[in-house]
Amino acid sequence: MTGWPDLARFILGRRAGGDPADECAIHRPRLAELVDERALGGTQADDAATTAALDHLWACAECQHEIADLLLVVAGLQRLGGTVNRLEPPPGGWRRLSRRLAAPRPRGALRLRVAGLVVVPILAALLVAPALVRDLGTSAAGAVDAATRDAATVAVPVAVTHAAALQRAFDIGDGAQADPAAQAVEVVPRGPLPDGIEPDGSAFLPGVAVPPMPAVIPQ
Amino acid sequence: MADPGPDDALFVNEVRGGDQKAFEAFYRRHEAVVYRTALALVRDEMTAEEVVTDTFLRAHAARERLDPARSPVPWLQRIAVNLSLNHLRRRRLGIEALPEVAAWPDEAATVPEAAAERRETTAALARGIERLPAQMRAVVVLRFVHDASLAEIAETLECPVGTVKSRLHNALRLLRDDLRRDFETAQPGTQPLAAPDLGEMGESIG
Repeated sequence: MTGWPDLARFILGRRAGGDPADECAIHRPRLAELVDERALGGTQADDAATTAALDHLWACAECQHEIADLLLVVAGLQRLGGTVNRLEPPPGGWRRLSRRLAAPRPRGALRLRVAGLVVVPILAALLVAPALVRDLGTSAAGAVDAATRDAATVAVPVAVTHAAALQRAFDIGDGAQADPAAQAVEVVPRGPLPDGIEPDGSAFLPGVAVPPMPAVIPQ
Repeated sequence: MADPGPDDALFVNEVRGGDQKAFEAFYRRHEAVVYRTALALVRDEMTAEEVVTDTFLRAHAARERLDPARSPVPWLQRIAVNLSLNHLRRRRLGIEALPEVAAWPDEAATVPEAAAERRETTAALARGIERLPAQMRAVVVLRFVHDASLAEIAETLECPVGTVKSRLHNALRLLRDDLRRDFETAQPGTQPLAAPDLGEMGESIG
């Protein structure tokens, strides 16, 4: 309804026995609710609106068609649900589960954890590197301060130094390319990881000898 | 949905304590409910078995969170629904293959007297359920397979009762439209849906 003329037509229509289309519009929502209530297995309310809607339903072929289709869906779902509900799980489920419960943690999860331990500090370092480099890497007028660079090489982790070198290349430009040998990074051997795994990669390939990492990584 | 039995609290306490025998009993008690939910959602027996195993693995890992005062079924159902929906998502993304055989049971196999028309309607409905959005499908499965109430579905899916109501309402309309389209495609210009007995509807209000 959009305004007074509609409202007037609605009132007059109801007094005069009702325009079928209006009647449908009035009762359809309640009928739809009745279907939902049926779908939920509840009992229908015994009120004036419900009685009027059902009276209309008996007289209206269009609403019967509308509601009948929905009821068909509800009945079909109930039947389908009942059929699924009779199904039993195949045997052997507990055996499968107890095997999984007894099994050690999957290696994949361990790998992910170790990878996380390695990747997270690198990412964090890469994020803070530009700021760090601005403080440490360059001194007056864009010249590279060798002493600072050496200090950074020793003190900051590999990833930070690598990022610093990239940053320097951008900051300094072609003329100030540093000597690659001077940029060698000393790798300080780290202790075992918190879960006791030596960080040499051997945990990933049991029984396979993993060559030791070089003490110096050329950049 | 399975009612919490009188010894559920005892079970839960023992399961929380890490008693393996109690966990086995807990598994056997609730396995079927979880399996049916998973099967109705993923429509593939092998995936459903996988979901059951994963559900109980997670339940075992988080057994401390079990509340002896409440039935563990909604909690288990929630895990199973989430895992099943993850499978469906992966399927939609093409990460997981679609099962070749639909796992909705063939009604004719279980109810020999079922008429061909009913069978056809059921099959069309099963196809329609497959096309429903995942959250609507979960509501339909919990309602019609487990006979769960609105409140139980809301607890399982962790959403308001009103949301469950509207999902169910919309799911019924989508399935109705789907069914009509399905039959219209099969037999253009006909009205094939056999109307259910409307008398039943009036009778129940007296």
